[in-house]
Amino acid sequence: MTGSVADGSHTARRAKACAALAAAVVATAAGVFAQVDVFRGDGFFAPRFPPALRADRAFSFCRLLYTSVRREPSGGGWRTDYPYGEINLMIRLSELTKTPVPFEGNRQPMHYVVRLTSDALFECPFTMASDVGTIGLSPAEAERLRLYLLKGGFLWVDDFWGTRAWDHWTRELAKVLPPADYPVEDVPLTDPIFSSQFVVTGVPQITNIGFWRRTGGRETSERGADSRDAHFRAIRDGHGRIMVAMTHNTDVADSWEREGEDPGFFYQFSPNGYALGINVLLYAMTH
Amino acid sequence: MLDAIFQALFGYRPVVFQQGELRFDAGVGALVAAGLAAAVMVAAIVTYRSVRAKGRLRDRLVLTVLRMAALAVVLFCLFRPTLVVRAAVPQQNVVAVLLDDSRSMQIPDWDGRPRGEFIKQQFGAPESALLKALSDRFLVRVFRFSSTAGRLESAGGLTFNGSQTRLGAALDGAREELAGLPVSGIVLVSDGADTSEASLSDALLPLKADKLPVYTVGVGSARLPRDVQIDRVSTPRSVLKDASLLLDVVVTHTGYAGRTVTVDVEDEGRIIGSEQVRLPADGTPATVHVRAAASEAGPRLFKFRVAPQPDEVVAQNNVREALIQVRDVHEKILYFEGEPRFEMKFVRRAVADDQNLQLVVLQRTADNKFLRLGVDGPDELFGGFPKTREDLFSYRALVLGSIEAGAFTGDQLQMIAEFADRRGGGLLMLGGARSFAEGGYGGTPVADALPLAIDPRTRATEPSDLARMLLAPTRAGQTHAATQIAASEAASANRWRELPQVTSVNAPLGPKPAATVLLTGTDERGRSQPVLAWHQYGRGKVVALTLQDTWQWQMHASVPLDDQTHENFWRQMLRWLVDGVPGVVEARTTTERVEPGEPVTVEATIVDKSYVELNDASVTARVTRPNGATLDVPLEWTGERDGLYRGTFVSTEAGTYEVAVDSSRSSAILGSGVAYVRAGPSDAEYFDPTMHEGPLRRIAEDTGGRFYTPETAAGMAEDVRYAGRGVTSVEERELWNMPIILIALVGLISAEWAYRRAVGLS
Repeated sequence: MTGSVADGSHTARRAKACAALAAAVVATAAGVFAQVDVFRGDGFFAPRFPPALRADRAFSFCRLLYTSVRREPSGGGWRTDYPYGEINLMIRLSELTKTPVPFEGNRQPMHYVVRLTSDALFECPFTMASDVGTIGLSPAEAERLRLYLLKGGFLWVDDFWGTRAWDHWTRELAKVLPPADYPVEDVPLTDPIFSSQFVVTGVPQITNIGFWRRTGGRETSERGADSRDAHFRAIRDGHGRIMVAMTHNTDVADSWEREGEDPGFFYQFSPNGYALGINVLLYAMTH
Repeated sequence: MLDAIFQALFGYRPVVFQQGELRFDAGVGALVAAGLAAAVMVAAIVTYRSVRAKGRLRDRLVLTVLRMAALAVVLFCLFRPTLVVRAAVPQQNVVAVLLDDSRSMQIPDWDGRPRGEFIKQQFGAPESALLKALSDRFLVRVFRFSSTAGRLESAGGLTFNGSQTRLGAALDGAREELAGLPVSGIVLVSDGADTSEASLSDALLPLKADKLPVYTVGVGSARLPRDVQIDRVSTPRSVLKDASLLLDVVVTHTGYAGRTVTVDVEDEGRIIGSEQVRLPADGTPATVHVRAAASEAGPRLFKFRVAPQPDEVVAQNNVREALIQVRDVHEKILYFEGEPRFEMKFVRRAVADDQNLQLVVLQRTADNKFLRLGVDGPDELFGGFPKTREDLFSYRALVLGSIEAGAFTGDQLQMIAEFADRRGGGLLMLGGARSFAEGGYGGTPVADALPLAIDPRTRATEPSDLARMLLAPTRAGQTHAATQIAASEAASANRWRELPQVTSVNAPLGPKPAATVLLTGTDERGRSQPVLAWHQYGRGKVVALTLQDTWQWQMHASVPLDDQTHENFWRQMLRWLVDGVPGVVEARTTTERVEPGEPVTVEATIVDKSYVELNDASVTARVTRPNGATLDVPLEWTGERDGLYRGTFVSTEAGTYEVAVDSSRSSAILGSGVAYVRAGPSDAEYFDPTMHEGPLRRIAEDTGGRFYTPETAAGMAEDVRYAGRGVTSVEERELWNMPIILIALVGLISAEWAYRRAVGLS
C-alpha cells in the first residue's frame, strides 16, 4: 500500500513542527501587515487577462470570469475578492513555500483572469471562482469547464453562502459533471488536502470584512442558521483526486484580500485562511 | 571437370603430382641418347645459323626454339621420369565418413532435390558410387552428425532431422573414435552450416597436429533463388508487464526485391504487433521496427514471422523465436522535486494507472519541509532525500526535478552519480530554474554523469532566458522506444512536430561525445538545442530532459481530452529509465535455449544493498523443470570477477525451465532473482540456409585435404588413397607415357613445320 505523507501529520514531533509553521504564517503575515506589503481590497479593478505569450510557466493564480445570473447579498459576482485575494495569497505562497511565484516590476505577483471560453484557461491548471451562487454557465462554457477538469485542471469555488446559493451552484455544476458520475462529497479532515503543508484541523468560517465589522466579530455565519456550518466539499475524479474544491458558507479568500485592513480581522481569520489556501494550492500542484 | 581434363592429359589425378616425388631413371642408353640429342641440338643451331640468307633472324630463332623444345621433350622421356608416391595399401586403412544428418539437409537445392538425397545416393547402399569407391580402397567407418555424432551402419538410416550442425564436435568425435587405427583421412559431407557456438579452430588444431586430412563435400547451392528470412531480432530478455516494445527485426531475402511483406509479432500465438516492409535489393537487409505490447506476465515465447512467399525454397526461416521474461513487478522510482510546480503533478497523473511503476515523490514545499507521495509507509524518506547509499540504491530510478545542487551534501551528490555509475540505476534530470547549470550543478559529480555538458561558471541564481520551443525527434529519436508517441515512426515524428510549444530555462552547452540526442527543440528565433539526451554512464543510464512544462501536452487547448501523448511519453520514459536496472541478485543463463539433454549454465551477480559485490554469499538456484519437478543447484563464486557465481544443471525434457536464484549471507537474506531458459529443438538449421563453402574449404585446406562439390566428388576416393597417411606402400608412376607428352611432341613438330611453311623456309 502506498500513500501520501506530509511531514508533520504523524508524530508529535511533526505536529509541533506544523504548529511552528502555522505560527510562522501569523508572524510573517503580521510583520508584513505592519509594513503594508500586502494590498487592500478597495476599488474597482479591471480584469487582468493573460497575454498571448506568458512570460513564464510558473504558478499563477487564475480567476474565472463568469456571467452572474442572479445576485447574492454582499456578492460581487466573479469580481468578489478580486484582485487582492489572489495577490496576497500569491505573496504568502512565495514567502511560505518554495513555489516559484512570478512577480512584475512593482512587486505584484502575476495573476490572471480567464474566461471559460478562452484557450488561456488551459494554461492555468489552477483556477478559482468566488460567489458561485450566482454563476450561469452556457452549454459551451459547461463543456469547456468539463474538458478543463477532466484534463487535470483544478477549480476552487469559494464565498457562497446558504442553501439557495448552494443549490444554484450545484445545478450549474451538474451541467459540467453529472452528479451520478461525479457526486459531491464532504471532504474529511483526514484528507491529504488538509495537511499538504499545514495541518488544518477544521474548516474555518470566514466572513467578509463588512459583515465582520457589523457584527463586531462575534458572528461568522452570513446567512444565519442557513449557513451555520462551513463546509469543504469536493468532486473527485476516477482516481479519487479532487477536481473541484468547494468552500461553502465561508469566504476564505476574504482572509487574504482583507488581511491588511484590520489587525482583529487578520488575527481572527487570516492564519487559518492562509493555511487552508496554501494547502489547497499545494494539493492542486501535486495531485 | 577440370580434374577429368587433367587426368586425361596427365594420366593421373592432381593429388599424385601434389604428393609424389619426381625422379629420373636415366640408363646408359638414355645418356647416350642425351649426348646424341645435344649433338642434334648443336647441329640444329648451326644449321639455322647457316641459312641466314633464307630468313630473318626472328624466324630462325623461333624455329630453333621449337626444335629444341621437341628434342627436350624426347630427352625428358629418355630419362624415364617417375613419380614416387605413397599410396594407401588397399583394405589396410580406415576412412571415416561423416554425414550431415541435420535438418538443413532437407532443403531442396541440390538440382531441385533435397541435399540429403545426395548422401543417400552416394552412400545409401554398398553399391552407391562414392561409398563403393571408398570401400574398394579402405575400411570405411560411417558416422552421422548433427547436434550429436555417432556411428552409423548405413546412410539409409539418416533422417535429416537434427536440430544443429556441429562440425567441430563431429570431427573431434571421429578423430577420437578412430584413435590408434591407421586412418587415411576423414570425409565430411555437409552443407557446412555450422550452428554451434564452438570455435572451428579448436577442432582443427589436433587434426593439423596429426596431419589427418579432411576431405569435405559441400552439398547445396551457394545462393537460394527465392527465400525470405528473419535474419535477426533485437529483444530485451526481460521487460516490465505492459511495456510498449519497439522491436528491431532484420529481414533478408533473395528473389523478392520490391515485394511488400508483413512482419508479425506473436505472443504465444496471439499477434501483438505488425509492420509492413518493402523488400530492398537482393542481399540488402531491411530493418523493421515493430511495435508490440508485452501484456502477459511470465516467460513468454515471442515469435517474429513473415508469411511464406510464393515459390519460397525455405519457409522455416521465416520465423524466429525469442524468450522474454515479462515481469509483473512494481519498480520504485524516486522523484525529488525542489519546488511545488505543475510538472510533477502531471507526471504523477501520467503514470498513475501504470501498475508496474511506483513513483515515490519527495517534494520540498518549504525550507526543510517535504511532502511525500506514494511512499510505502510513514518512515520512507522521513528524513528527506536519502543519506545512505543503501537507502538511495533501493530505488530503480531517480528523477531530479527543479532542485538545486546546494540542497545536497557533497556525499549525496556523489551518491547520485554512483546511483547510475555503480548501482546501474536510471537517472533523469528535468529542466527547471534549479536544475542543470542553473541549479549550480557545474563541477559536481552529477554534472559528470549528465549526458549534456553544462557551464560550470553559471551560478545557481542565474536562470537562463525562457526558450519557447517546438520539438522534433532526431534520427535516433525516431526509432527510440521512449519517444514513440504515435502508431508508427512517421506518425510519431509528425505528432512531435504538432505538439504545442514547451519551454526551457536551461541552456546546456551541448551533448557529450557518447551521448545520444533523441529530441531537439527549436525556439522562435530558429535556434536549436538538445532537449532530450541520454548516455550510458557506468552501469546505468543518465537522461536529461531540459523541459519544464511537458504538462502542456496534456492541458493545452489544442490537445484533445482523449489524447494520450503525455501519458504515453511519461510512461515510456519512466519505464525506459528502469529498464535493465539490476537488482541485488541478477540471475541469468548463458544461453537462451539449449537442446534437451544439454547442460545449462546459470550465472548470478550478487551484491549487497549498497551494491558492493560479494564473494562470500551463499547462492542457490532452484530450478523448476517443465514437469514441475525442482532441483537445487548451488552456485559457486567463479573467482573470475567479484560477485560472479556460476553453476550448471542438465536439462531433461523440452520446455521452459525457471531458475530462481536466492542469495544469503551470514543467514541474512540478500535477495533473489529469476531467469528462464528454454530447452527445445532449434530452427537455426534453416537460417542462412545456403551451402557454406567457406568453412568446408577451410577445414580441407587447413588439414591438407580437399574441398569437393557433388560434381567433383567422384575422384575423392583416389585422392584419399594418396593422402600418404596410414599403412602405405611406395608406388611409382611413370610419366613418359602421359598423353600430354605425345601431344606436346606432335604439337611442337607440327608448329615447326607450320611455321616453316608460313615463312617460306620449307
